[in-house]
Amino acid sequence: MPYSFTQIEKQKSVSISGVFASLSFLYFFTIWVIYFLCAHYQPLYQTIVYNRPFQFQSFSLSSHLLALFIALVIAVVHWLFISDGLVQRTLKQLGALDIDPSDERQAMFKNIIEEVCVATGGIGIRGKIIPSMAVNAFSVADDHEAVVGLTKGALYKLTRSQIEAVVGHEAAHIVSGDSQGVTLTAALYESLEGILSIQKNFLIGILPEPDDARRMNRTGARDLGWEMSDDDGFNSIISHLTVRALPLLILIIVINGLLFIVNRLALLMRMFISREREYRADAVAVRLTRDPLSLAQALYIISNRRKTFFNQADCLPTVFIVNPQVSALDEKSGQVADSFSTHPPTTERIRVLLDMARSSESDLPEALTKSYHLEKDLLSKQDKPETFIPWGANTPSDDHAKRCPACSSRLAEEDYEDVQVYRCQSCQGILLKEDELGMIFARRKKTFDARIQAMADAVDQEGPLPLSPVIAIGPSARKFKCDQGECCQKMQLRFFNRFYRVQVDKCLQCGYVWLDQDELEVLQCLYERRAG
Amino acid sequence: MVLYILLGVVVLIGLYIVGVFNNLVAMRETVKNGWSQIDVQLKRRHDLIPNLVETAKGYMGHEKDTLERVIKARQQAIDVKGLKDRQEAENFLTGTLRSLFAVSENYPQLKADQQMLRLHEELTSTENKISFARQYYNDEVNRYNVAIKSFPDNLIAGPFAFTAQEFFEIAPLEKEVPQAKF
Repeated sequence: MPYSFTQIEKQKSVSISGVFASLSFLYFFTIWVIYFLCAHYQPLYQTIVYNRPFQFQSFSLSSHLLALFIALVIAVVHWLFISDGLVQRTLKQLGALDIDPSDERQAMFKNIIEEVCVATGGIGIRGKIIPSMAVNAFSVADDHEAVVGLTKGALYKLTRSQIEAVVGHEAAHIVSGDSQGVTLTAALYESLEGILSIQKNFLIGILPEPDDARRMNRTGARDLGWEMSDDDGFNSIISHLTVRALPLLILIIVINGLLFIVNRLALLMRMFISREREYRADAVAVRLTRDPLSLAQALYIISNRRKTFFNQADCLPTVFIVNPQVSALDEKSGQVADSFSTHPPTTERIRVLLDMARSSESDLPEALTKSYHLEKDLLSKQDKPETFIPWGANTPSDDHAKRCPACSSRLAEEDYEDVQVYRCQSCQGILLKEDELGMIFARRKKTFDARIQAMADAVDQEGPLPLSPVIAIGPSARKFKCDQGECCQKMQLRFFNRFYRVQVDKCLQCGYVWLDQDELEVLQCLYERRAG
Repeated sequence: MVLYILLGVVVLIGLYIVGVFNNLVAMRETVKNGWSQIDVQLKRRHDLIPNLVETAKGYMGHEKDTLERVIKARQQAIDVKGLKDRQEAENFLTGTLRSLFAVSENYPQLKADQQMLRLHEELTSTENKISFARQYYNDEVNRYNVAIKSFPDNLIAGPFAFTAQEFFEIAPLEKEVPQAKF
């Protein structure tokens, strides 16, 4: 039996009502906190200003019920607001474009979607394209429409049967209804974050940030020759503020508390969205397209090539076939990793699929060494050579030449700001010694165009990492065989540093760093901006 | 009292029969719908073939036989009635198309022709759709056939004339025939 639709409907409504319940709970909690603070305004004021002991007041059942009622009303309004035109808004956020049928590759994608629709027994799916050279695919759906999208990178780098398998996977998400739940959850989180950030910006506009004020106070005191402890500074600010603006302080507390909860909520929602659904979708995709090997190959390519600038994906990692954000938990299994990641380990997924195809991992690289050459005329008008990265390349075999860690084609020596670097002729990534980066950053010959500037802006806006997490992300998928031939193990994937979250691959033994296309330019741009 | 219990049992059985009947009807309709999907795609293939032959003619004048066989097979597939005959005719058409594409390998100019490339992609897509539609149809037929034969649904299926449906089989090689290569 293909799919039991009643079972799916039941599952869908359970997951959606779970999301609604958590939304209602959030509002209930918020109202309760505000209510609590309002009721305790007087005692709080007394405590802070006159150091009187704080008196707690308990609430009656009816006030709880009232709060619950108000919370439900707000939640329903919010719910209606986000579920209206959900797909359209999400697509806008992802920057997805319509299919251009004059482009052969995109026309083929359209055909593939129609084919998969036939395989599902005639559900309606539309295709969309994300203009990014990252390789990934996504699906979003609401009550009215369902959309499957590919990035341009995927469109050009995957073969026809691989695209078919990927579309089958996304169609499986839509058929089983979890696409709808995930889209809704993502939009919900997004809208809450949006509301809170507006409020926060408003507050920051009218109030000095406590941290800044603290710092100002302390330096001022030091200038006068005083030594002030942290507590003194903070207390003086508090008493300063409370006299004038206790309500504002309360507002700050509420909003910061809410921000905290919403942040936790994102984690919670990830727990809701179980890893299992990706396995299930893989299985249904195989039943639809009967081609597990192609799906395994596609997953392999996608997971190797996702490490590209892909800002649109940041807010919605859950709608994609392979998590576009690299996380340390990605390839781990176990209770913790299962609860907090949205996608199961890709290696495990590939293994399951290869089992279905009755082939082994040794089949994989061989199947992938076929070069995916594209004719010039297959490219659409928007694609310039520099935005286009062919997968693999027909290079003469030369054992002594350095090989690209990403796509194994030959690297060519190149002068970059008078420093010798190795550039991959195929994917345009750059390999160089880490200590030479400093020299590149110090020199100013190069100017950067608007595209690089925009990417640098995006990196800059991400801000520094919090202090606690380590910079290392984990072993990378790239392999590099250096001159000595000693360190041919896998490179390590890590952020460039705490301030610039550009993901680079590094060989810990010989000190070579691999930067994907544009990454060196972006880093250089950032450094030169900072140096002024 | 006993009368009421009996009445209740009769009503329950009646409701059960209605439920099973409706379920079988729904399944039969799904099968029909699955069949019409195949039909649409087969028609689409018939529509594409004249264009294909027309384009190929310009380049492969020496292969008149192959082209004529395709045209003939298409006409046969359109004219034929009945599921079994139709399957045979469609399979034959697939065979001729296969030989057409095999022969076209010898004509690099034809393979590079824009119109031909587009037709090739359309035909590949249609072939895939046919095979997916067939897959869906056969899955549904299987589900329906199992339902009407299993107890106790068969007690209801018999009197209400729910008969087993035939599978639609196409030569398994078909899917590999005009695979587009990129």
